[in-house]
Amino acid sequence: MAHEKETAWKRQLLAAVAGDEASYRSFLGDVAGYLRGWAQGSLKRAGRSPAEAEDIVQETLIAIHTKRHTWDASQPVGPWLHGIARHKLIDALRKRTGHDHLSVDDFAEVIPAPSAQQELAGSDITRMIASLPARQARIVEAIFVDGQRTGDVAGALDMSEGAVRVALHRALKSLARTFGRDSDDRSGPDANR
Amino acid sequence: MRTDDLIDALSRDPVPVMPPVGTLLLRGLAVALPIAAALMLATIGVRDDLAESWNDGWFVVKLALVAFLAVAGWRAVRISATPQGRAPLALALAAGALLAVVLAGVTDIGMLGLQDWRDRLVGENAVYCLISIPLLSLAPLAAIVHALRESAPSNPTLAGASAGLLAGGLGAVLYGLHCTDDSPLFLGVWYLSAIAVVTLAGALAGRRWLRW
Repeated sequence: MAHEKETAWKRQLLAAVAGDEASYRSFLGDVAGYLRGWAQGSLKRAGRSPAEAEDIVQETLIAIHTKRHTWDASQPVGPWLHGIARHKLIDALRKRTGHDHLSVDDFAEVIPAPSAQQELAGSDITRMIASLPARQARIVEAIFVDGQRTGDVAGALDMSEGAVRVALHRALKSLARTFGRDSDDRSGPDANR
Repeated sequence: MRTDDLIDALSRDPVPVMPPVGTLLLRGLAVALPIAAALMLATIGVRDDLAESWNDGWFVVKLALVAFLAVAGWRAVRISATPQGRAPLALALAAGALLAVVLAGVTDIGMLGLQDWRDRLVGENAVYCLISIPLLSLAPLAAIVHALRESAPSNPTLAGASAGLLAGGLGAVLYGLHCTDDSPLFLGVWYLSAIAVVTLAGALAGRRWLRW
């Protein structure tokens, strides 16, 4: 982990914990680039399609978010991030292949990858959302399409905010899985292992 | 879903203020330990000669050794409950604590010889010990695992086992105040077996409830 990267992430994350949305957004965006490069490298070395990387990036971002309180401000950010990413990568590979033997790159050697492959046509998103259970679909639509906050959605659906977040989390996971299958289909017959 | 949309939604999603995992653990134990102590006092009670026992070296050594196991369990919990937690360090801690107890048992044989070893080994309460320690550890184990659900352990099974070691050590300290068998040999066999049962239960609980 480059020293200046660590310093920048720590500054952004501290600001985020203090409630600064913009810092949190740029932190997550920057981390996503690193995660993408790292996941693609790790997947390639495990003999798997790098197309799966975006799933892992998204699952890791969600985990960083839901486990944010486990970061101890007296500790460096890099190893904490790496631990979460590693856990999610191994988890994803175990779910798909039943084994978790892989060597994982250190963040230090990673070159951030741009988000070239992540775009999906609007109709795809709509179709994926439609495949979710009704309540999850409403929550995802409200948050991602209409840009509402979880608190507002909770009020509208008469749920607790915690329940909305859990439902959103589940929805995000199943969307990530659907997305994974779709990108496999696109990258040719070779990708379906 | 585009990753950029996800980032946007996450950054707008307010994170509830959550105390650090260490605080959650202490809070849980502050509730569970009085429950376990009350359970002990209400059922088996402390040994009759407790007041004089503090002058008895073997009794103090016994309590110190099981308390040491609990401390090792606490450290192992704190290490293994983080994403960057290094499993070898947690394992080394637990192994070191166990070794100390085994060594004490060996020293016992070395010092007192093999005469009467049967008495010291079987003691008064062998089966009692095997049942009581896990029962006294139940509330602490539940409290620790519950608190750890908010953590992000690099290895959920290991974090659960560490929780079991901590809970088992605490249960053993309580039971030690009742039990009149103070020989390290008894400790090394029966207390350790009982704590091992709790550690195993913790590992299973970790596998089941600490995944994230």
